[in-house]
Amino acid sequence: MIKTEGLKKIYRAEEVETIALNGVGLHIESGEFVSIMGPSGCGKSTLLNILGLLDTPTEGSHVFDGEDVSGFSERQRAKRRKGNIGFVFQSFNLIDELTVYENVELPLLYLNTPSAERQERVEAALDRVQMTHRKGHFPQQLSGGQQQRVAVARAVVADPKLILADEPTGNLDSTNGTQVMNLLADLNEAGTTIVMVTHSPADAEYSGRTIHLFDGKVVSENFIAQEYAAHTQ
Amino acid sequence: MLRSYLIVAFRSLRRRMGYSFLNVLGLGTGLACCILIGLWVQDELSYDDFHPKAERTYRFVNTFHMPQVQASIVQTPAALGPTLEESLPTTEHSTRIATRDGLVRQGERQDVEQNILYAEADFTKIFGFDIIEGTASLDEPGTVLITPDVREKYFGRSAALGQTLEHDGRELTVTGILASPPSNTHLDYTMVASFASIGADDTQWGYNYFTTYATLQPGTDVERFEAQLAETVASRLGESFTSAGVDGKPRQSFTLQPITGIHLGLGAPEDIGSTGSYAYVVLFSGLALFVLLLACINFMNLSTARSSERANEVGVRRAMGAWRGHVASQFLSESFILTVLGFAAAIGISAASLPAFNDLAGKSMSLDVLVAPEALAAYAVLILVVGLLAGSYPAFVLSGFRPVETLRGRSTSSKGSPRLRQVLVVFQFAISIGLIAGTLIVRDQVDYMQSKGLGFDETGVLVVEQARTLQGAIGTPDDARAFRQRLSTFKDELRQVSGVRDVASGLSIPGTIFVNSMWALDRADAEPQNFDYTFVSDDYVETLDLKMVAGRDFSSDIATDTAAVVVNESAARKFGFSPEDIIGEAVQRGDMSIEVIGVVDDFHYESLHQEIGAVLLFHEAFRLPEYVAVRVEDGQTARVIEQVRNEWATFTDVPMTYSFLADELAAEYTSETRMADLFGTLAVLAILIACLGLFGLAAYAAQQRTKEIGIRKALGASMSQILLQLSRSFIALVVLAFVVAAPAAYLAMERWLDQFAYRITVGPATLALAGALALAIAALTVTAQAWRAAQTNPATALRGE
Repeated sequence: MIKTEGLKKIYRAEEVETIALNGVGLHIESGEFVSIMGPSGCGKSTLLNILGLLDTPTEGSHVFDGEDVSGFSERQRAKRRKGNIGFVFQSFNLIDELTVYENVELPLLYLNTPSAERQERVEAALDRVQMTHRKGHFPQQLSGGQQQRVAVARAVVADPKLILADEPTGNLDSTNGTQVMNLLADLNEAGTTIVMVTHSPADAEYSGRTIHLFDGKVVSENFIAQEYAAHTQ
Repeated sequence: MLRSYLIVAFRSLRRRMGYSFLNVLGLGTGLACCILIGLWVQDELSYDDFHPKAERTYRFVNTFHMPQVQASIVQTPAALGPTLEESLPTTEHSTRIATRDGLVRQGERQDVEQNILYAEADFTKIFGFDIIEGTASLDEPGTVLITPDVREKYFGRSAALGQTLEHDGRELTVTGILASPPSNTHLDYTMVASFASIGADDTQWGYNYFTTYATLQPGTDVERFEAQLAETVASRLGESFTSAGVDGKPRQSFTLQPITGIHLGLGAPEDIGSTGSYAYVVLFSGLALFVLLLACINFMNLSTARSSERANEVGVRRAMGAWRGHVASQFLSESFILTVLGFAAAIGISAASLPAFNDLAGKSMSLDVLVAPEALAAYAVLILVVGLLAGSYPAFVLSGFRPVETLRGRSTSSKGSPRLRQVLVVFQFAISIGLIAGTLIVRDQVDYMQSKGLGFDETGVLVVEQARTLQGAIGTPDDARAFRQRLSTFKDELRQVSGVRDVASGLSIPGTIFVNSMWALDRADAEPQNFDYTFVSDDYVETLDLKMVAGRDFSSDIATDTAAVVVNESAARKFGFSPEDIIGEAVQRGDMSIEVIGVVDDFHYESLHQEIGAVLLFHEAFRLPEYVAVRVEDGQTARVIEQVRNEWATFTDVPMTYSFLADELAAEYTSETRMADLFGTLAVLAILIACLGLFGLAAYAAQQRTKEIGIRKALGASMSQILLQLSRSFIALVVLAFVVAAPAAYLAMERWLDQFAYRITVGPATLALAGALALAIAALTVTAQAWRAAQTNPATALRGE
């Protein structure tokens, strides 16, 4: 599903050059659940943004679903993203002016899904995260955990092949965090590929594989998350 | 999708109530201003466009090319009309019109009527005034069409058709009722009588008494028509006419002014004057658009300033698969909703302020015009233009945000759009300062004109218009002698009234028309020159408080003074003498020779638009006076008027009409006063709108810098330091605006002032005052916001991150 080679991302300010990614090679198969870990500033989020086609690499190749997308224009990336990639953010990023229902509906609107089908899929997605009873509420009226569940529903509603989660539990307490992680695990079980950035070893346990980044490079790949814990302590 | 746009737009606007309110109010004010000015412009441009053949109807302008006189007037010779009919076949209709005023009687009822027209039969074919009753015929001598007001006054409820009215000793039979002239025509009338009632010498080219109008055949080339007319006139008048002008021109030429251009003075030389001003129409249209532009700029500023707040939303939408176009449509929808709301506010504001605006502009436009079909169409266009103009920039900027940055909370708003916002604020304040400066300067000029020493004392002079109401009754020299005797008695009686200091009479007083002709010094080699002149009584100089600078005033004790002249200093100099030396010289015209006995200081007998001319004051023994001037002592006015009225009643049975000299002179500056008022109003609106925008930006800036303020306070910054910190950048913008606006305002106003012969000079103080006013208002607006921000507890502010 995803294959990168020699992926580099360099930010240039006026006098300083920051290397966020320094030759990252990755191979993620369809149906995998992969965690990306590493200290702050190691390039996790940059990597996730590139994988999500929100950003472009400075160098290297990036094949998504069998197509090299590294040279894509903003417009091409937007087109490729649509319906194929779902996002879950640490700060939820729900739109305040939209109700729960409308937030979840948004990706379908941009896909021009017919209205009857839209309704069906939104209801199903909300049902999956058990938020149907709150569909008329606005984000401000929900708890953090509830908001993140809505965000998960929004990420899956278009039935994407890939879900990218950027510290999905970072702003949640442990109970809500567990709920959200269970949701992601369920989705993975149902066949969706998930790539998740996290600081939490506990969350990483949900994934089948953890990639460690340090200074923009992949330093190790552990198939068993516990080893990470042992290694760092 | 559209529904979704609209829903989100509404919710978003509701959530940012204060911001939406500022935006709607700003836009509403700007649009209201545009609508009202638009109505005014439309009214100004609609003058005389309702006549059935308006597009090919013209008034003749008579231009003199003589060495002494090069001027244009609208009065034409009696022979012009008949010449058109006889020799210029492309003339479809033509009419000569004589405008009179005077006493109208019907049995016991009588009153002085203004604008009594004597017009030829084609009048009703050329002009689109409606006949309400009777026939529109003006063929027969002794017939008249009257307006409903006149009918009401003289006939009450009884039938008027077939009845007679008397004017100037003529019996006129009412044959029809003519609708009163609408407000948008240059031609005012109370009655229109047949031209045949007064008659005219159809061969006379020497005197210019009548206005002449013509409708030309469709397709007539105006320039060719004018050329043919010139040829025809030349062939009739011969050598003495064709070669008498300067530069090989004929003595006189006749040109056509489109009837629709008369009000605004278009299509004719400037010096014929006009009631409206095309320059003001252009000026105020421009200003209204500027004010609207200011409102749109507010909109853009407020929207883009808020952009970082919306940036996250944009990022999410784009991550969810929105095109740039989707996001832009979203923000354009908001812009259109705001525009429509602003429009609703504008209609409300316009309707509420229309009466006040009518006062201001001297119009009587009704609310109907606000909902006329053309108006509605114009609104639709305005909504479209304003919605796009105001919304496209924010839409463009916001939709261009890169999702990856906005989602990480890195605001992209600080990347260059503040510079544009600053430019726009500078632009807004530059316009505001320009308008304030304009207002101050126009006011200064009006004040200057109204308070300038005129060379005489215009206050406390009661002017009674008299002789014209009697002229119909004076036919023979005996009549005239009898009239003079009665007038003399009347003036003597007035002098007895306590509170009356002096009484004088004359053919003209300052502010009324002075006659103009050629006079020469009574010497063999003297060349005639053009002078203004009039005829006055012995006590004229004293009553008006004119200052003698040489020689002496007229004296009733010296019998030969009736054949003497007092001149002003400019006249003495024009003859080539100092005031002292001209005493004892004589002026002559034809076989008359009249001795100069005195010289008065120059005085403004015309408005200050004109330079003081050379004027000769002859004795009224030559010509019957038309005005009696009564100098009243302070505080006695009301009582004196009553007494004068009583004396008048014993002098004549004609109703008395009077005015105060100072009021009449002030009325010369109505157009300037009006301009000052309009300017002032626009300036207030502009600064209001600019401040609304500034208020929003300052509020936003303060909010953006909450954390910075918290840190500064935690580190020990004082309240005033923080206020200064927050206000400084905005104040700098206003100062910059001043630097831009001051020279522009200076140049523009210098040009405007150039039309006055007597004018103020624009000093730095006025411009500085305008700048200071704008600065003070801006500072108040910004500081109020900064104050609120500076008040916040640093702990709260810092926790926010």
